Amino acid sequence: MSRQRSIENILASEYVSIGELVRITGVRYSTLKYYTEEGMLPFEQTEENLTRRFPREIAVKQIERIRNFRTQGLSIPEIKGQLGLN
Amino acid sequence: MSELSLKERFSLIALNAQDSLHMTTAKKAALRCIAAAEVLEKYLDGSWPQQPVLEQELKSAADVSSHTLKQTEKEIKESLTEKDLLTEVPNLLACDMYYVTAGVNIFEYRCNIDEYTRQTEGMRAELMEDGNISDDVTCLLWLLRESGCFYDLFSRAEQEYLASRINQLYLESYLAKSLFPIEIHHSFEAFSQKFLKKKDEIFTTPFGTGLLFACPVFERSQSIFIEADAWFSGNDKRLECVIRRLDEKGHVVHVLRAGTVPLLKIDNLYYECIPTQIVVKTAIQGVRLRRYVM
Repeated sequence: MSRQRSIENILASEYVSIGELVRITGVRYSTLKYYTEEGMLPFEQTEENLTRRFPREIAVKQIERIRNFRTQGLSIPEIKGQLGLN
Repeated sequence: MSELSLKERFSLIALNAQDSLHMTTAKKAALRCIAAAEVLEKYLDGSWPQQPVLEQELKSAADVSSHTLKQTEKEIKESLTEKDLLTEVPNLLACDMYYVTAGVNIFEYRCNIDEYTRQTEGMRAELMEDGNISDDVTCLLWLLRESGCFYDLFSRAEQEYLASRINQLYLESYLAKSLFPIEIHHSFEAFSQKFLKKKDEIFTTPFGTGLLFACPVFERSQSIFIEADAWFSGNDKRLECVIRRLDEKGHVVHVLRAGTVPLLKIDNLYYECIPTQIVVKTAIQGVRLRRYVM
């Protein structure tokens, strides 16, 4: 077992776990899990290791966009439309 | 977003919504674990000692007088306040109509809302997702169990899943194998917490809620009554009154769901607003706040 990565190390990494994404964005785990399951957040999952890893910069930008759409009052299907996912 | 020590991370979770003026049983248990967190922190970056040594150190750190616990509280309060992570606000109970009219004020700690979410949700993600559990989260998990905060943080469904994760962790991790059998809580404090927890559980069942509505004196903190301005005011007007009262008392409120039974996030916790009325000399309409675990 090991220590958690420091914020500094997370912010310097290309890929992060969902827990690390929670720590750097402050968005609830259940919310990020839902976005992931709805295909709104890109991730990679290698066959031998089932843990999902997220490309940090793209994921953080996408979460910021989704947050902005939510602030404007858009529903999830509407946001998916805006993100070109429908 | 700042890098926090294990002691600070645990304190953020354990001190949130605790009475800031009095040494309650729940706060004593939290402070004992804050002292123990300092011991664990010492070993996080190095190698872990043999289990008897670790047990001895943790027990002597936690088994201290009330005076020492007060000193621990003072130190951690100063450290977190300096980082803008802890404030004192009037207790939610002070928003209750009876307390407002009696002019009674009780204060509680409120942890920085963003940082609280970061810490609790980051830990939840690591525990609920497949993959390794870090030593930091293993220590936090043990501290939460010993302080009695674990059951407040995770829903019943999550607790069921976590039971198997914890068993797996116990088999695979040297730290978990050494740490999990160690108990530092005081029997009386643990008994009091279990009793209060049981009482909470009873009052969240349909029978308990009904009983509470009829006799709120059984558990006032689970039945905070906020009166509406006028009789037969609609949902929106009722909600306005609740938000105004909470604002006046310095609480941060977010409406997550409107309607007949709105769901509110008050500081770091969730509550449902149940429309009801009480009868004193005349009927007073308003809502009761009921704790809601997400």
